[in-house]
Amino acid sequence: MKVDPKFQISKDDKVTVDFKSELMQNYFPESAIEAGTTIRSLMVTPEQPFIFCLTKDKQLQGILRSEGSASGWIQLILSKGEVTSFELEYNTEEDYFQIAKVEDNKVWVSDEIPLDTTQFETLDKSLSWSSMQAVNTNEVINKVSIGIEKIVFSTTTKGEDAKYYVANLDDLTPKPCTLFENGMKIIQFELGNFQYTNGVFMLYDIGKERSFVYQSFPDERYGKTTKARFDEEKAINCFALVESDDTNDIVYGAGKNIHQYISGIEEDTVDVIKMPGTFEEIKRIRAARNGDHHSVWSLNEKGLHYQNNQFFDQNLQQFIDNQWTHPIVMAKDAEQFCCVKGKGIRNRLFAINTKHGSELTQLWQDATTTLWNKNTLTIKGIDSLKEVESYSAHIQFRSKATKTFQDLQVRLSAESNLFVYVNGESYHIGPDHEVSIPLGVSAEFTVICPVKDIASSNIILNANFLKKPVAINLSEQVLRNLEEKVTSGEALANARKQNGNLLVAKGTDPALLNSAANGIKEMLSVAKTVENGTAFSSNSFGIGTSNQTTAARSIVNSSNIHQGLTLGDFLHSVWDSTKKAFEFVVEKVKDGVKFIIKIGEQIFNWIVKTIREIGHFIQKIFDAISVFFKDLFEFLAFLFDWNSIVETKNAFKDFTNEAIICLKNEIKNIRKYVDDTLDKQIEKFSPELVDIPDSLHKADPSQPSKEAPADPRANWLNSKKNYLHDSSGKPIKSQIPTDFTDVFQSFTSQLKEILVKSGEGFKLQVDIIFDGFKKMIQGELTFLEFLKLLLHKLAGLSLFLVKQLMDLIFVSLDTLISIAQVGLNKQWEIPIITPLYKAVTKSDELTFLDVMCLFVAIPTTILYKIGEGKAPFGEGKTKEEFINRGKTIFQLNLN
Amino acid sequence: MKGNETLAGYDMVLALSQNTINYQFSQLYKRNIIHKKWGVLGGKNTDGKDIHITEQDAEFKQKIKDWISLQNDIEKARKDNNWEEIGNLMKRRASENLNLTFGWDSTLAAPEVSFIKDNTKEVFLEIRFKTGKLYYREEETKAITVFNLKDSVYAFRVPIGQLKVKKEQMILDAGESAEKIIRESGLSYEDFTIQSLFLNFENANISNFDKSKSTLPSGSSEAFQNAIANYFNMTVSGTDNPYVLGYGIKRKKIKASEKAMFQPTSLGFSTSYSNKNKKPGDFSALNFLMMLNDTKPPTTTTAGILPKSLIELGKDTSSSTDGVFSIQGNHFNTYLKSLDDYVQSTFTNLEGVQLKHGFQNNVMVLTRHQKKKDDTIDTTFTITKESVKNNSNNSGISVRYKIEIHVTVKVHAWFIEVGKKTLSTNGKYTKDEIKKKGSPGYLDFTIKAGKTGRFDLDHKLTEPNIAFDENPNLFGHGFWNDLLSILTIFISWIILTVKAIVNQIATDLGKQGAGSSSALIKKLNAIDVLNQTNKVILPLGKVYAFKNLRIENKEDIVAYDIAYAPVIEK
Repeated sequence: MKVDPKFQISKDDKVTVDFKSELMQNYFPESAIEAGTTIRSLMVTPEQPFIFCLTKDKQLQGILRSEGSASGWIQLILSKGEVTSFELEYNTEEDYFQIAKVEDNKVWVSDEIPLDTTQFETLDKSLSWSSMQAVNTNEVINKVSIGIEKIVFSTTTKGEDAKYYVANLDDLTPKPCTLFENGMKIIQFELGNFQYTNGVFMLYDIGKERSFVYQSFPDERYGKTTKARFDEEKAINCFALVESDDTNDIVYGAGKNIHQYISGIEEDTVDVIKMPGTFEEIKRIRAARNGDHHSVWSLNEKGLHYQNNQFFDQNLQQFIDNQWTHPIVMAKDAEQFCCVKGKGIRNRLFAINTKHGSELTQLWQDATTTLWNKNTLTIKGIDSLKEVESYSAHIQFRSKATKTFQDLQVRLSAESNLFVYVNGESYHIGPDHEVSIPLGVSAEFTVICPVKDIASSNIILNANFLKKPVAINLSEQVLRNLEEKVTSGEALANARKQNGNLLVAKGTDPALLNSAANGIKEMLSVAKTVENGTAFSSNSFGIGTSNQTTAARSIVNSSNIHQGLTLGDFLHSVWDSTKKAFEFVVEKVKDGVKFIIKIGEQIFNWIVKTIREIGHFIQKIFDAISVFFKDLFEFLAFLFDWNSIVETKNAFKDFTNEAIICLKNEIKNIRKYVDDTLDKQIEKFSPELVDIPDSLHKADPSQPSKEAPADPRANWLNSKKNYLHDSSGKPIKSQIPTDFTDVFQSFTSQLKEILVKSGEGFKLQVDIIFDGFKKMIQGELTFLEFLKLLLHKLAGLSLFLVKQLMDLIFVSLDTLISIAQVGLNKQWEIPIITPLYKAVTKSDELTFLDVMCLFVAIPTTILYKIGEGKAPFGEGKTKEEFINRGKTIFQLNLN
Repeated sequence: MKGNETLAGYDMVLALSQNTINYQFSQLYKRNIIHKKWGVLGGKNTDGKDIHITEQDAEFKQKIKDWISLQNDIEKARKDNNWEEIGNLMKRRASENLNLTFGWDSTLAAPEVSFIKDNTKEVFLEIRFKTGKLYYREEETKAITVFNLKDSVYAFRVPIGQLKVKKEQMILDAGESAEKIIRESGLSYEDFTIQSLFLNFENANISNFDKSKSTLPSGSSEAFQNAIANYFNMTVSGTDNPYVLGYGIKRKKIKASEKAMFQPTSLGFSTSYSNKNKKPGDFSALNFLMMLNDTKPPTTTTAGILPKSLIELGKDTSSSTDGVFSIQGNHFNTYLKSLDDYVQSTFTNLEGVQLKHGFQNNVMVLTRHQKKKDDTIDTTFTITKESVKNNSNNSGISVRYKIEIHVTVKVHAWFIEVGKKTLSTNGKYTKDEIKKKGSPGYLDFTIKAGKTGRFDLDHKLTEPNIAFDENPNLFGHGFWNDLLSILTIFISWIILTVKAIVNQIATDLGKQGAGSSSALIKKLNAIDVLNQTNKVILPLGKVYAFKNLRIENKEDIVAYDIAYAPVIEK
């Protein structure tokens, strides 16, 4: 039911935004995606990659980026059994793609998958396949390659040379391939397009030489083919094809060098570009394109190299198109990889390393800051737990107006591109990427931004009810804390992490520490400037250098191979943690702050626009004194004290067990109280209260309207409720142990009878009561609160019906309590909490009661610690007193 | 048949199929390399000079409009008998250069060539019209008649027999780096590209418009057809406009390429029409006729007229291949001779081995004389080139050398010969160190077409074994002991010899794991022998790929199937 706009908060309702951001540990019910060999990808929308790879069991899986899903990625299984080879073909002209796979010794070809009309999230169910077999049954199909009109596959037979077949996609009838040279040992083949024909690119050995050729399929009129040989001075080890807009593939051949071949348009030439860089033997190459921008990734013994044709001219501070950069090493441990390009996420690499867990990782470059970020791709896994260092921001909207935020939307974006979680759902936000977050009655949400260094760029909130956008600096508090703590080299030397250990290793050179402390202070003041846009005089400082003021103010155009790199490339690849001495000159310029960096004899300069980059520089200064992000996190972050939380939970558990016994004894008294007071109480409610506006029927007063300030720590559990309610698609009710469910069912069916009598219009109110009842059972609502809610809601009903209802409730409650002690102590599995609890306590099984108590214990402990600086049940006496209070909790204190 | 007859007097012939040429033309057309628009306006100006305006002219379309409207006005004035007006219009026509007779403005389809039965010196080049209009002024004072050009064809007779590619012309076209190469070696591979071929065909200076083969719009008069023919044959052929047929292919700068062992030094053209399998497109060939070593091309009347299309000899005539390349058997023997030389060098490079005579009637003999104290060992190696034949699957040529060894050991006591024994590869008797019966050794080479004109040489060595020619058990005991002490040295030497040969071949042919690099091998490597693997043997490897190397005994030629696969390089 839609809320009538007149009951919704508007721009004139003086909405205030209350937020707090904290650097803290966070937990997600996610598991890493594991992948086997071969990985391919394509962009199904401008910022949505679809990755294809094998699972560890060699099934074909598709990993789809899905905005607003739990982990941001959805896994689709696209084969029943083992797949030995697969490939994609994207038709740029007609905008569809097709998948070919080898499964069960057959070649399977999928339907055409149009990019504009396909529901990719359910592709595993909607996709159909056609198949063909090899000519002889003893042939084993080992590789397939698909093109726009044809498909080619190879087979092996014991003791014979490999055979190649080509088939039309229309009829899937394989015919043997003839090739134009003898005695070939094929190393790689792939279908593609060249010089406006389609055919096969083939890399093979002929005699002792390596040959890389293209042969088209015969034309209809003359039965002839286009052939070409790509020749390089050095042997080609591998090649990659990228579809271009004019249907021809852009070809990359790689050996000791990489050459790019582009078919000329309206001229009889092929542009051959020898790209910068000489390599040890390249084993694998992949390339991606976004418009005229290309990136190439190539793997050899030294690691995975990256280069692209947008050369960043540091003097002009802008990109020069069509000039290739020198290769830089981006990853040491990738084995299989593929890459895509986009707009906000400028570059993405998906890679796996089978030696180290086969986790599918993503390395991506944000277009705004050019910084590179790395994370593992995950899918939702109820039984899994992923721990993530993050900034968590709890954001609340408030207004004094007696209207609701229900169904209003907040638009979320960011200064630079980020992947964040909002209410447990993953989103990409950025300068050109806005997502809408629906608000409930409570008008709050939590944004979790995973980080690998202490800075994050601002996130921006906008809504129709806001007069202007609100920027949230996620790292503001942490940077302020840092400023307070790092006042001098001495302060750095004495700083201790939360576990009591020194932040900086003992014996670190005091001069180095002094320069580092000074550098950090300078950076923090620059950060403030960037934030406020205020001017400052240029400044220079050095870390670990003997003379700190000699940094060159004018840039000599040093011609080194690192020219052409963006700041992000430089920080990711060139500036590793071993750099101990460097100098900065900072100058305010028109659209940001110019950083001139001198490392050794090399001088670089970039204009920085957000505090994200400055945070990265601060991290580099810390790196120079061997303080890494992990250390800084332990130094600055809010850390969950799980032992205290478990302690608190245990207290609650004992308390509840006491309380249940007490409740059983009290039921009779309560029932009597209700009977006695119903008549009197109902009269106290005024008619206008009963006549609540329709639009607010949904409003849930049973949810305590906390007026507490925003705090992501105290709100942590609340921010996770999405997982609890819908973890495996089932409502939480069905996850409560069956004994309880039986009671609920009996309750509901009997309630129905009462509802029939009371009329449908009243159903909403009853839903709220029912919900309140569940909350009481689950310990979220005290009994008295529930009772008040009940009476409030039932005002206006005929006394007879109320009594009948109360009877029903009490009967149910009685039954419930009888089974409570059994049921509550049954084991219960829920996302995040169960794996986390098991991880913390090392083995303890979690019962229903444990869970309920944890729900209370987590925020309680956190809030108590924030307020009091210590855990609530630190001393035994307090705990005992608390448990004993359980004995009297349900005794009606009506005075 | 002698190779000279098969190749009609030429040393080498590359036969390219008609379908391949037409396919390549269609590709050039598809990729807009051959222009798709063609417009021409022809007439005479007041000085009697030819007017020749093409669609390249910015005012082309406007000119047509003006011309049509002017002629309409003239026709009207004539009808009205307004001679004054006619006079004015005529003046205007002269001043505006609109005294045009005919013209067309069209979109072309891909051009095609067709070869002519029993005519090896001419081909038809057909310019096909997709759409367009043809304009003709039948009389000076009449309006323009407009015809639809759709499906019309202009056919030209191209006398390819007259085309000659000369070194001088090539050097003009060549880049600096290639100039020297062409001077030294003759032709460049560029001359064998489709683009060059097309350039030759479209050269209107030699082509003749063929009225009978052309299809002109129905209703167009004889007079008009003559006008067109005149335009091409008289008017234009005199001008210096090389792209008169409307195509814009430019000759590429020639790049340096390695000189091949069989480097052509002159080039001529002919065709061979073939209706094999009723597929003239597949089997009819355009022949690139080549001479080697600056030999003058034959001048007889039958020169270049091949008895049959070489493509009929194709082993693979599928879509993968485009024709057949052939070289006369006696020229190929140059290569085989180099193989002989190579084999010879592997033996002569061995210490103490003397060449008695090199290959004569396929037999080479080498000797070695050794002495120990007074005893002597004389070894004779007889190497016989047994056969040169095709592999069973036509994928190459096998050459087999047989190695026979004959050893005479003379044992002396106080300068007196006390015994003479022989061992050989025919020997049947074994004893002690001599464990195996005698058997000849074999050196087998397989020549396969490699990448870009190189040969891929595979080899296999079957070790020879030597044994006693007489039963050594019948030798006296004392004599045996003497013999044995000599044999010990001898055996180790023969093993070393065989090893050395194997190793050298392995090293030369680039196979890995070529045994130990003993001092002997190092020494062998230092000697400049023909390095078979790095030598470009066949020409045109930058344009064609070679497959199915074989000897065609009946035709006395060596042939390959070829694929038109130009190299793409920086």
